[in-house]
Amino acid sequence: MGKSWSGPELEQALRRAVNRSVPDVYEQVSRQSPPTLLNGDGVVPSQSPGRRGFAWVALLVLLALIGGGAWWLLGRNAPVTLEEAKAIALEYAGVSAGEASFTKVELERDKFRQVYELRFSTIQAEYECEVDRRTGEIHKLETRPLAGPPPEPADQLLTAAQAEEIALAHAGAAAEQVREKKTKRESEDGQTYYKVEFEAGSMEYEYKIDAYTGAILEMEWDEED
Amino acid sequence: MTQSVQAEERRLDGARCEELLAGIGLGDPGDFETFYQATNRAIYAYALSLTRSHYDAQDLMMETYLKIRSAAHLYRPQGKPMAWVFTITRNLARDQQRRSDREALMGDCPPGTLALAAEAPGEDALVLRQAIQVLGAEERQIILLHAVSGLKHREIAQILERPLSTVLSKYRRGLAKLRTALRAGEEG
Repeated sequence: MGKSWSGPELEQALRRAVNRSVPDVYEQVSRQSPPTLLNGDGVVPSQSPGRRGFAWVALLVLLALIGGGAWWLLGRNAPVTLEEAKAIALEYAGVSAGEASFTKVELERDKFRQVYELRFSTIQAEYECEVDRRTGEIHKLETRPLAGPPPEPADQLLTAAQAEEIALAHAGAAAEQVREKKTKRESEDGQTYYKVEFEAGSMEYEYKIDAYTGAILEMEWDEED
Repeated sequence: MTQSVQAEERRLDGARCEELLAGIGLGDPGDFETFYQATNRAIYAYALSLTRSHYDAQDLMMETYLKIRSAAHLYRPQGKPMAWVFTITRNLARDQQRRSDREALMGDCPPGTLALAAEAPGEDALVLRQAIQVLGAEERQIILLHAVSGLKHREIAQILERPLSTVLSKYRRGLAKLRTALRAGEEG
């Protein structure tokens, strides 16, 4: 039986592979002689400030406002449908539509966004997922195995560092990129796990890692405010 | 390259990219370096999805940065700097295709011509190779842009000038295809 890849796992594998093979063309590009500035008629544009500069700024602000308004209107008019949201959630979880039964389908609204809250289960696990109605992005995916593994002897408990390593590897974050890392061991309903929180890039991550098996029980990520 | 530049935020922040483009337009080499660091992965990923070849993607990436340097002052801030950059990449890819008169770009390149830097064995490289081999042109662009550049589906829809629903369904279909190919590879 081959490995079953979830959406985030596939994306992370692609990200890591691209990061490893991205060529460094910086030196070659910077060695080229300073560029001739292009414009429609081949004349280097004047950078001098003054009334013309102000007119440009005003025009750009106006364009930005019009663009922002159009973006907002378009965003409102073309939401992701519930069926699309369900399909996105299943895809991310790596579950086929035939295996899953949905137990919760709600559209939550707050001031800034609308989110489909979905819960579905298969024979092995229950999933909770939030899908942004406007963008189709996944905000949260939680997985709970329904038939948990038998309890392991206490001497096989992972260290906090091992749990962190699993979480970082899954997020595709290098140790030097990680900020505000916090790891705690907690127990809930007889299950012991490490809660690993950290920030990398502009994202915040929260993982729950089974303290015995190293399995990822829950993961949640969001853009920092 | 300096440490501070390496530590610079790598994710594509639209407002920051616009500031940097403005600086590049004025000929600031520091801004160009920072912009390069923040965008090189995304531009390479997009170039790779268009050309399906590491070496063509490298050429395309270089041409894209040269064009950015010479045309940054023409960029008008509209909150979508990366859409502008990717349009440059796509147009250059079309030019490259016309010049070379090959069918390799933008679509149906025979699998034999595939050339990746990620030749080293490894699961990640295998996933990338499969993605480039089995996905259709748009599925490839959508999945690589989403995975590597962190762009949202809606932003990708705008860059590719396709409806959001099309982007979402191609994204889903592409992931499913990739998953099937990986499973078949493991079992076969």
